[in-house]
Amino acid sequence: MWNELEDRERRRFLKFLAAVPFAGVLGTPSWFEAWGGDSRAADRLLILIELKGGNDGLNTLVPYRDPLYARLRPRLALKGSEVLPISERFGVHTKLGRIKKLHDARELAFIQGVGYPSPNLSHFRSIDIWETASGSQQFLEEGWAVPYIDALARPGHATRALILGDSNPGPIRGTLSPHLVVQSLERLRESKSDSQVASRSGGPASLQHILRVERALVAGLSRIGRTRTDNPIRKIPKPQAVSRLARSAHDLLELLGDGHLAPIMKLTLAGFDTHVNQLSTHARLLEDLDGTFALLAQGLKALGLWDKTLVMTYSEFGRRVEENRNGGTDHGTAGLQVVMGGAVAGGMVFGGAPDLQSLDQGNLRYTVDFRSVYITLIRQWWRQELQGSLRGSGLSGLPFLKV
Amino acid sequence: MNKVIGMMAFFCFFGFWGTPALALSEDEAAHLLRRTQFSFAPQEVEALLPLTRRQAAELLVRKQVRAARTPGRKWLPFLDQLESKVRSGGRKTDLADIKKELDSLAASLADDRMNSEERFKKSLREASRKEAGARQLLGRISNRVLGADLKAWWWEEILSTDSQLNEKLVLFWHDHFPADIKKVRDLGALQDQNELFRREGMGSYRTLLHAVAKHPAMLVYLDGAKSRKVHPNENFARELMELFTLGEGNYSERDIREAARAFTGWSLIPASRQFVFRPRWHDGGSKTVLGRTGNFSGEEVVDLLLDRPETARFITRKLWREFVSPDVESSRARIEQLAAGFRASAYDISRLLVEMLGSDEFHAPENRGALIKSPVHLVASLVRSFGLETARVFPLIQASRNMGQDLYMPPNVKGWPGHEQWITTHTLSVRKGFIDRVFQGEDVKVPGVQRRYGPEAWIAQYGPDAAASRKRLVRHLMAVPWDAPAESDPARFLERLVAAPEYQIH
Repeated sequence: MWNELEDRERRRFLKFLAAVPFAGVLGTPSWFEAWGGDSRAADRLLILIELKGGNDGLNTLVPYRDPLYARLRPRLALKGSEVLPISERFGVHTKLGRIKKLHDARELAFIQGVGYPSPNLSHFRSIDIWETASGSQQFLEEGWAVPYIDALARPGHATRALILGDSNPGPIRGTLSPHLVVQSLERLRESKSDSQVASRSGGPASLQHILRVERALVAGLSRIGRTRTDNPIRKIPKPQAVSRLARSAHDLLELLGDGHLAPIMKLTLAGFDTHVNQLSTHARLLEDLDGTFALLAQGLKALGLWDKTLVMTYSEFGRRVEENRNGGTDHGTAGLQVVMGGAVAGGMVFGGAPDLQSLDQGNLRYTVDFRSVYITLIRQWWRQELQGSLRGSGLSGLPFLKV
Repeated sequence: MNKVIGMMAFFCFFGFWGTPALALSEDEAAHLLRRTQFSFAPQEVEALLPLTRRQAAELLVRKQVRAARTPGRKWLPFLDQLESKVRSGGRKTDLADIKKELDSLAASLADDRMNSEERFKKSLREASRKEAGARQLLGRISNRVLGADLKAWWWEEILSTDSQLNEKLVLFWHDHFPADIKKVRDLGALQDQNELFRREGMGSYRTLLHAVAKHPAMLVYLDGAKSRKVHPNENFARELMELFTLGEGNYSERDIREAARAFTGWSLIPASRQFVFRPRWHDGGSKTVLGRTGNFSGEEVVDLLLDRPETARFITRKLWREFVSPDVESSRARIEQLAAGFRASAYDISRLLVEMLGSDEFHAPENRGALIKSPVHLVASLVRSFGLETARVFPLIQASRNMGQDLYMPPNVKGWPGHEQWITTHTLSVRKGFIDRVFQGEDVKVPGVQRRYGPEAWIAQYGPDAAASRKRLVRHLMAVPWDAPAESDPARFLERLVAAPEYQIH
């Protein structure tokens, strides 16, 4: 993938790498440690943001100078005045002002053209592929992060994973390890658990599942009930109700601020399936996403977790290049991922630019296999050996991390 | 006496299947009722005991009345009229006139159990303060008050119907053919679709699919109404193949694009919101779908999909997961056989259900308790089984929503994922919290819900002897063995029963 970086950006990146003292990004003393929270227990955290419905990458990171883009999208193409340029060829949607700032401060990067061979355009099948890291014709039950989840656990963790805003456990689907689904923090704190029930076993699979969830509740609640009055996140105002993603991000930060860490965390924003009247819907969703990134950056820095946390979006697919008759776009293929954190090689666009000239049945040809993003995470971020289908994939990682 | 004669007539009519025909055990009868009904009395178990497995399934399927017993909301036809008035009047619609009409509608609402006239008028005042147009005003009132009342109507039916299996199929089809109230908005269309499920949900899947495909609720939900010859919208064609007929993997992207062309021109009349075919929007050219070529219409594409064995298999598997077990692999051969019969019978849903619910696999020990109760099933079971009286259904709707199932608000076009995904740390604690509020202590702590009679009287319907009646009710209500606690207080006993994790499965 290295050779797919644009030349100019590659030079900038090499210069940047030379300037970063090796391993300087880890181990800064923090507020987190100051109050006795063991931030070594944090090790490395991952926050995933699922953009449900298929986010239109082309209208998020926009090739606004490409005449083909304007021609294929007479109603939807964003013009130069409607984007915030980040390079000669690309600009971000105007609602992504804070994401642009993070990019300019080299704290955030984009990975474009992310997809896989023989793409499947079904929401459900494609998210299965993304979340299990399977091939297009391969059917796997287990989420891609499941083989590593127990190795990532630390004694100070509240649970193995925190799932907020949606009950889809995503990359940890099918795990037998305890994780918490948090719809609302207040409700979670009020809930009761029954250790007697949790200690039982046996019965049909349905009952065993319920007992397992009860065990996760017992383990999680014993910690999550504890709050800290000096949690700095409580000083950050909770976002408005319309910003649903930002609100769950605030809940998540609040948990982290109380010392309740989990190696894998996931937030979800739904509504990206924009077949009709895309412009207004997409703008509203991106505004929420923009606010969420800003909030996470602010919160993670305040907690001293910035260098230990990686934030990454994913979506089941991008959208069709040519717009449809209803001011919308149909399901497409290769998409865009946004990554952020103290360890990210920020200010970059990774992956080859989607070629609008050479489409496959009207869809983009991918330039980055999504599994190479996971491989980067597993090897470089988690320092784990590849397991399962990724091990024999023959794919290598991407250089979007500085660690 | 009547019952005995009825039973004898029943045997004469259907005869015995196989020799020697074995009668159901009490456990099997209870298993069948737990899967097909929200609640049942001990007498209903007894009534099935002389029958074979197949006969019991047949009796259950035959006795369903395919119409709602809850009278339709009086405001619904009135709202339809108002909406078409506003639509045809456009900007020139007299706002004062619409307000006056809505005011009189408030009076008809007051009869309803959930919405008070006062609440409605308050919303009306708020909405008229903010909005200038008649259309927006009507939209707000629909969204805020009437939509919730429509949902309340359905819940009232769920809580009171005697045709429980039919109602479970209405829920099944709503999950299969979802409609989101925020997108569809047309309350008349949603109610009409709901009635379609109740009328045809145990009829023919062929009839049902054709009717659903052209229904205004679907045409809006999956954008079909707007699709035209140039750049057709693929949304409906894709979900039709993936979720309503063939299942993923049994068609190509090209099939979707070609089929989408056939559905162009299926649209709605703006004023009445009724289906209309617009020839000028339709792509009448030649299409190739699943290897067959012709100038297909939308109807012909639906028929083409129904001709495929994959469609019968897909629907049969889905019904199997709903009524028998989430594991469809272990019973592959049986499901194949059922699917072939389903297809050969012109997609007779009732016939398929009889065979499924009467099968040995349905009664196999490993399938007892294999299913997790959906939120609607759990809430309805609790209310209906334990003699609770509901003056208001809104708190129950809220409970179900918090557990992850809000009717008319499916998470996406695939419906609710269900099964193990019903239970997360969040939803499990909501389930337990709701049960506590209903059963813990003397008073029910869910607003608008009351106990009709005490726990002791309730247990007594299972027999005169205290110990034996408890044993029997456990056998009826619990799908798997449950260690009943030594608890002398009947209220505490029931509380322990419903709080047990075993109560969450069936």
